[in-house]
Amino acid sequence: MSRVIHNRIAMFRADAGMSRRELADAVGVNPQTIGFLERGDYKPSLELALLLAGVFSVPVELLFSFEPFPSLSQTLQETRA
Amino acid sequence: MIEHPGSSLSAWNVRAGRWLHTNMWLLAPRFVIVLSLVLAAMLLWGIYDVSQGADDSFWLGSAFFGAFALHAGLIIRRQGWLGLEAPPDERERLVEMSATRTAGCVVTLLVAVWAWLLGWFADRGMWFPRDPQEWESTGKFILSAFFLIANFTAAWMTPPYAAELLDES
Repeated sequence: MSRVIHNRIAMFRADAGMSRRELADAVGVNPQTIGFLERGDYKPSLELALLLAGVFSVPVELLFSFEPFPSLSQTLQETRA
Repeated sequence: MIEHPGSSLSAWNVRAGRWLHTNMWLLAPRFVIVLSLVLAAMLLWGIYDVSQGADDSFWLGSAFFGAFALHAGLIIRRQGWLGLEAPPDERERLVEMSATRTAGCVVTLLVAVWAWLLGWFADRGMWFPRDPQEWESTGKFILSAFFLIANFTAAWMTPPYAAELLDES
């Protein structure tokens, strides 16, 4: 299995006003691991993915996807159209 | 006191562990890489020493002791047995497993090739272990090589801890 998994952890983290350290503490991992996840260098286990989604109170598919997430400008354009 | 999820470590202990991880140069990834290479050079010199007839090579003994001490120190720190760091998370465990697997594969392959060629070495008058002392040195060499490759690989796969937090400090 070598499919790329895209995520929006950095966006949700910034939106929640959390640092990597705070998010790492919330899910019980090393802050380095949050950095690896945000860069897409590491694919989380299902347990960690669910924990992360739980922190932001969103479904896991809002946080992770096989397809690239649309950029904010794209979303805004689609909303206005 | 804030409890770290999944363990009974206090937040203070976790912070102290992070500080040590960042600042304890003796076990920092870059230092481990350099130390592993130095010990590997000593190890190679030591086995050369033994092949030249030295009964008890200082270099081989020092490299063996150094590799063992470094490996034990890293295991103790990574597992959080000193109570200064949280236990490794899933990514860190994966790094350890990958490093150990790499070291195991490399050492097994090299030992297999060496054992395969042992008769060929003997036929051509090249060195191979004969007496118990030489076999003991060979065993130390193989075990040290495993420790050093495992530590080098794990350190290579681990960036300095502080790098992730520089933009937040």
